[in-house]
Amino acid sequence: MLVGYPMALGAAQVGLIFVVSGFVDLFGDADVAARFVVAGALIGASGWVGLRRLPGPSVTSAPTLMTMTTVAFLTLIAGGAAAHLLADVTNGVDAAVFEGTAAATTTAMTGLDPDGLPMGLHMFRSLMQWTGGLAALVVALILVPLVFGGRELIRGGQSERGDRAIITGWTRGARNIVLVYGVFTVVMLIAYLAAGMGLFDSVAHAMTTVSTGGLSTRTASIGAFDSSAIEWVAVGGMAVAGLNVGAVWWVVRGDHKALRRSSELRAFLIVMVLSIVVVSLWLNNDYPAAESIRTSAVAVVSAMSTTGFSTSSWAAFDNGAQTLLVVLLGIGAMSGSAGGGFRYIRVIEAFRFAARELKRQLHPSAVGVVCLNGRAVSERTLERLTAYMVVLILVVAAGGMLIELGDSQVTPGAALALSISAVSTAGPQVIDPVALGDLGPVSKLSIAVLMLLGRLSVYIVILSIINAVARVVSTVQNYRWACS
Amino acid sequence: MIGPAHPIESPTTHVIGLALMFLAPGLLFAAAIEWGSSTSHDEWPLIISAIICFVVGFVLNRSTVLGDDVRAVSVFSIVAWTWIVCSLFGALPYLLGSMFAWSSWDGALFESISGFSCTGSTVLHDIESHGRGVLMWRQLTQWYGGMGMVVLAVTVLPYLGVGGLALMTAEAPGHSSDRLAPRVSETARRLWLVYCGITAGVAVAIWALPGASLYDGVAHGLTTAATGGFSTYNVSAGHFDSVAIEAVLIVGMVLSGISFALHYRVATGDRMAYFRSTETMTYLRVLGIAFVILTFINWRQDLASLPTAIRDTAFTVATLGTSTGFGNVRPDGIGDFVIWGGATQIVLLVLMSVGGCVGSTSGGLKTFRMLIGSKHLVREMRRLRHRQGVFPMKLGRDAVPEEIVASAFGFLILFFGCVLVGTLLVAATGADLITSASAAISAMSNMGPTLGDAGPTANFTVFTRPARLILAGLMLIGRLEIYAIMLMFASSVRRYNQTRRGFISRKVSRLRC
Repeated sequence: MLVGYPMALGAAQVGLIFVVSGFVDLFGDADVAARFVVAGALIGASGWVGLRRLPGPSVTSAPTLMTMTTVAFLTLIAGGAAAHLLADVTNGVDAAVFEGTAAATTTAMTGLDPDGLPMGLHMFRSLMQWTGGLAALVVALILVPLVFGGRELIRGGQSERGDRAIITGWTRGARNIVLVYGVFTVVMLIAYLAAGMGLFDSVAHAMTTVSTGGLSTRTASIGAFDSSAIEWVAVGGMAVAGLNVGAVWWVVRGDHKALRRSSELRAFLIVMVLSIVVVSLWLNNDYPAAESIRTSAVAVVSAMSTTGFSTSSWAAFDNGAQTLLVVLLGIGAMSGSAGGGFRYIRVIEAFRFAARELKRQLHPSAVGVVCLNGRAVSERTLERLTAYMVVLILVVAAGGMLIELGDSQVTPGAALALSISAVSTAGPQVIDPVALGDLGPVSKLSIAVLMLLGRLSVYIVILSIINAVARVVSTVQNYRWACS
Repeated sequence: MIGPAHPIESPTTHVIGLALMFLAPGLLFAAAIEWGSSTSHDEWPLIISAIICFVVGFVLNRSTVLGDDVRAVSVFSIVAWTWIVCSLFGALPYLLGSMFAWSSWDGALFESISGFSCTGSTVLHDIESHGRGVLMWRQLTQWYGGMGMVVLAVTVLPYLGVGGLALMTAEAPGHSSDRLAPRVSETARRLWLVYCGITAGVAVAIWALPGASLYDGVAHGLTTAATGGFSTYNVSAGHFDSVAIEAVLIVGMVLSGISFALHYRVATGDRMAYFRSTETMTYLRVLGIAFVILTFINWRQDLASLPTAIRDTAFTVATLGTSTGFGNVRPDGIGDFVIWGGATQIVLLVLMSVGGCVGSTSGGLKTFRMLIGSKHLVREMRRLRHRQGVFPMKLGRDAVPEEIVASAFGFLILFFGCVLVGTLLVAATGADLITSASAAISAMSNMGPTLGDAGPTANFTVFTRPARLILAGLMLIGRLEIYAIMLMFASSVRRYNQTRRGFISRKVSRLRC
């Protein structure tokens, strides 16, 4: 059950995505239509049989749920890799795994030239990112609270009022999330169409905007359309996608006061506006005023929501703008969104925690409480937060080192920026960009692991590994005991 | 007794005055050396600076009193202002002499702050063109800063009582946690004794080796014990091109990165003290592991033969792992770590952040905090599997109180917060990411050289003037372990608030009347 059921669930989803993409490919050159439909039917059927035969999930512990989530994500990644191998667009299994991971983890990284890819594969990648974004939301907002009795593990922080409203009972919560996510996708589709984008591109971009995925059907990303209307629609979509789903829910319900009370939302919006102003001032030398504001808005919002759309190469920006974008990529989006990164709620909590410790230097015996949105943050949450910080720093440093070791052409700055971008599930290369397709297998697989760690949270992956090892050890012990 | 009949109660001014008076002997010593210098004659600027420091210090000290008790809020103010004022007065010989023109005041200030904070970054293009005396003053600023001006003041302030302990903790956390004597001033005196011992040991060892003079020995002994990294040569320790001198420096740097209280205990007969200290053993292990990994990578990447790789990697690991910052770049060697592979540079970046042990002269996050961080991480992983489990944290056989863990993480957050802000500000002046990030880490860790454009063969003139001032600020913040600088205004703000509240209440009562 621990491995079988989530695998079957993932296979059923992948099969469905294959079949839909295969049929969409019929509207293009139909290069991969037959292969995708057949593969989709086989994978989907095996997944369906698995779901019917295997016993349903009865989650009793955090490790079990985390292991199941990791297995389901790994199945999605395997499906993504299979699609790229079937389309014959990659030159090795490592490249296919890299592309599959980028699609499933909603990261805008690719070593391929999107302009030369078949229509079916574009649809597959977009659908995969859409599914990955939805899965990340369900994991963050429903599955983790179910097991941990709070919404604290993934975000390491206080839940927003919106979260509590959207999640009341897990089936209703899941339905509400799918509803918000689905409606938002349709709104984005209509907005892109209205801005002048073609139907296929609109569908693909709507899905990758809502999921903060960022993969585009064009090599030059959003910039390929050369339309300010499309760029502003993308900015709006990415900004909303980076918000807490609960916040969006409250807007839909018409309660705007709840939004004003959220410290995280305030911080997110203030940083967004300030960063757009600063970057546009930097770009003012190279672009006309209106264009510099638009280019800056696309870059900043794309980085903050960890989407990864771009209108121009970020590597051509000033050093100051590049560094700011790397920092924004690292912090990422709001908690309870499909975006990745460290999250603003953690930043706020971390600095309030540090401020408390600063006060303790003056008053060592004082009892200080860290508050957020008018409520005290538990010491347990703060302990998780500090541990998460340490593990994230280690992961970024180790990731940068492995990327560099795998390909000596990558500069240290580029390796670190790439590592941060992958862990945040953003994707764009800010410093000294390299052709990702030309990277060595070690670098590619390291980036793939970083993307997975970023999407599922480092805790979940580590816990899954510990759980799997513990199970193997106990099985061996039981076997030995039975033999003796 | 000379002084006003009714001195003002101001602990900050009192300690600043004392610290300034301490600078005068060092300046006179440097002036004496400068007298025989063949390259420049800056003896009078050094003498005038000594007189200014002594007179100003004397007046400040005698016109104020410490008060009955130094309050916690004043402690940080005393420490921070003492360092700032000493850095300002320390720049006088550079400005009065030929090293910097008055228009380059920021360069002189940068050099002085880099000295007192034991960072070792420089903006000088040709170090050897300056007089031996003024260069010795540069070395001495690091020596003063190594153990700390306030710790020096505490040795002669036996009446300081509990305030002295707080002052030592605020300036150099770790010294007071391991008290060597019941009296704080006696503890401070013993720490200075160990410090002088290491300085003298390294100086004599270098002097005894071929290729170095007594001047070289003293100059490098001062900055090795302080883990400062200033040298009197353009290519730093690479000037000697001597394996033996590099070995002496490596031993000196590694010893200076260990708690001085521990050295005292070992020197007074407790031979196993090093082995009982979990932090010290971890520090040595980290240096050892980094040395093995980097030597292997450098050797495998064909940067040098195995003996050269061993020699240069050992020196680089010691100099960056202890936050010293000496360079050993030779024309035929790989001492310039900027040309090493990217993966090794990322390891060096981590090593730069860690620094030495608590209670040593080195900067950085300190091994103790990294140990707490790693143990906390393991504890959280165990808690994920066993949610109701209670897992006390232990270092060696001692349990670590939760307050210490929280304090360590508070420091960690502030450290990385300062690095982040520093990186953004330096990058805004035009530096690239790796140069600005490593410069911010280097400044906060009081390291010296950076990766990127300001490596061991370059100097900090690659940064713009605003960037250099930002980095100088970070050096002071890093040296005083953040808290002192951040809380230095707490006393003034509190006094201002009290005055304001009093003014408002008086006004309200007058209106009511």
